[in-house]
Amino acid sequence: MNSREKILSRIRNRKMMETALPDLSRKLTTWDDPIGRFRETVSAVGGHTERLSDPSLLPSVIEKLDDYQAASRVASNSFIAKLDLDDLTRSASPHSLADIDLFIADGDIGVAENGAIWVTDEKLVHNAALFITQHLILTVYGSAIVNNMHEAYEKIDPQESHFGVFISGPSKTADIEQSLVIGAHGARSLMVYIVDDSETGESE
Amino acid sequence: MNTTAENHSSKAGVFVSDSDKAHWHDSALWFVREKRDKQVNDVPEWEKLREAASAIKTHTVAQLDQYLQMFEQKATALGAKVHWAQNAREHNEIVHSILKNHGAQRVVKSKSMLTEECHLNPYLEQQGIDVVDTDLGERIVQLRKESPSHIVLPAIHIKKEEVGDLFHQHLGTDEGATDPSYLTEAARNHLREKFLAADAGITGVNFAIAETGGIVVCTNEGNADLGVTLPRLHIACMGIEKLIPRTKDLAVFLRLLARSATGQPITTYTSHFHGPQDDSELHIILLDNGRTSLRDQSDYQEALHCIRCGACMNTCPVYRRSGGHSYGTTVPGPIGSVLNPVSDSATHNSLPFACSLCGSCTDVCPIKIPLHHQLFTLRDQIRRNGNLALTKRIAMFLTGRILGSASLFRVVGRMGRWVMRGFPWLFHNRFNLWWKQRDMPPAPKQSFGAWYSANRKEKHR
Ligand code: SF4
Repeated sequence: MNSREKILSRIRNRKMMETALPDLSRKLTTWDDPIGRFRETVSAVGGHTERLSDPSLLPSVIEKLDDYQAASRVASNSFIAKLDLDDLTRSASPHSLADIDLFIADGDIGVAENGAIWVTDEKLVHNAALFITQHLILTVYGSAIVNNMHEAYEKIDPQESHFGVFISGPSKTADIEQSLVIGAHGARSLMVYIVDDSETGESE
Repeated sequence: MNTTAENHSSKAGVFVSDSDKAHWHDSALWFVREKRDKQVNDVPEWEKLREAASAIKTHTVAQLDQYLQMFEQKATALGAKVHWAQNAREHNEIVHSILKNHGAQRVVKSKSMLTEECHLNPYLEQQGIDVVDTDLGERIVQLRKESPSHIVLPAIHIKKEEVGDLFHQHLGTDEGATDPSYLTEAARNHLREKFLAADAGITGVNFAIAETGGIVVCTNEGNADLGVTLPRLHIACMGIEKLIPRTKDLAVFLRLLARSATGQPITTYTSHFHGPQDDSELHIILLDNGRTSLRDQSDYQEALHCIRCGACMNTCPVYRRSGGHSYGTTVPGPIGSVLNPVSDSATHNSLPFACSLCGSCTDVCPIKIPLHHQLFTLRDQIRRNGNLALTKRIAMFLTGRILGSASLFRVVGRMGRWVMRGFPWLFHNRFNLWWKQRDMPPAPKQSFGAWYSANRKEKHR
């Protein structure tokens, strides 16, 4: 018997009473203004937000940012932002991203309770770009802000992408005497643009 | 056998001998506990979530064989390679053989208590492989040639001055520099080089989803993600208890985990891997190493539900005041005091006694593991197995006799009060550990029983 069989048979040899899975649909906390709550939470976890009434405003807003001005290499995989920038090449090694100062990508949804934004590899050329960049900008549609993680998993299906990540704030650590330091290994800052789309106004 | 019985208390004795540091340690952890409370109080359905989490784990563990097979089948269909290991040795050999097949020499590893449990680093180093722990806290303890003292905050026992000296020596930071931002920046630059040079990334697994074959890894620093998005080889090491049935169950656990662990609403990065990334390989190792035998023991099997959040450590009055290294185990604190004696009661028989039975661990545990009940049951089991220290056996025997007889209790009480008043040094001396750092009020002339019959009994008739 190989290890697999041994482990499985050890489990089978000890029958346990079967119990039901809980029903997760009972009443959970929601907010009257999920976007407002989302913005509060993102800033509580060390990020920044700005709300834009139209995606076409993105290029000019981004170009005014200090992080953009100071950057020597900016890359973008954002479809929403429509920036005329380095969109990275798949054939290049992800190691070639090491000098990116600012990276822009699109999130699929945002979660009000914890400020997390869901980003998948379907919208990225290199997954590493999200983490290796010095500064990160994410966009998310206002209509795509959900209340909590339960709603989030109703909207997304992680198995549809090889890689998907919830990002909540910039990278951080408190491993030295519990003092919070922003910018551990990943992005040193996170800017989130909440872009109003046709549905945002009508969703409430 | 009693050599280890003194273990926790004697090691704790060393820890508390530096009273300033011990107090600092205590308050650093209490700070984390308070952050947790703030987050938890923000979630009105907290108790419902705990109940749901517990029910999901109970359900999964009961049918673990089916869920493991479902997971294996789905993960394989997605292109991952699934391996099974019965024990630490087999686990380490599998990791090594994968690395060898790829000619991988330089490995970056994110925080994983399972690889600590298996002592993977020393094993790989013996095989000539360079393993770098990339979580800042873990890197600090690795450079100090120590083990983590906490499962979420590996370097919680180390002061910034010590980190400053360490980094000055290894990373060339300025002598005497202690600013956490400066030191973190130095580590960031040092580890970036390691990430860029790595041939493979090893991560732990926080949750594995049976219905999809996906795994989820939660970190704050971004080290796990850098470690598996730059190299083309990702090895994920997980205990078989990490399974959950459905994707939507993640919502429950992710809402509980970071709030309990560090008082954050969610970790900065919650990464979902379904099969290998483009042009990469994903290997998932399923480890038993005592988990199936823990499952066999109905008194303790709920300990398998643990999601390693560390909340029980942060709240534990004994852990906070004695430090993680006093436990001499990979997982310390309340949950460690259950897991380790259950697998090896002779070696770890002092741990269930490193507990005041205050029950705070059970209150904060997001999965409602009845930790203090288990610790209590373990004490009895250790006694029955004959692993109780002699001093404790004698004390228990005498106490049992005295408390078992009202007349004996009265006589001993009278004698005790008399001796304590007349000859306090008989108690208050260096042989009595209970008097260490403690003072007692003078013994009363009368017992409570005597006082009660004289003063109250009449009035309440
Ligand atoms: S036993 Fe509970 S509180 Fe302790 S680490 Fe595990 S999940 Fe967290």
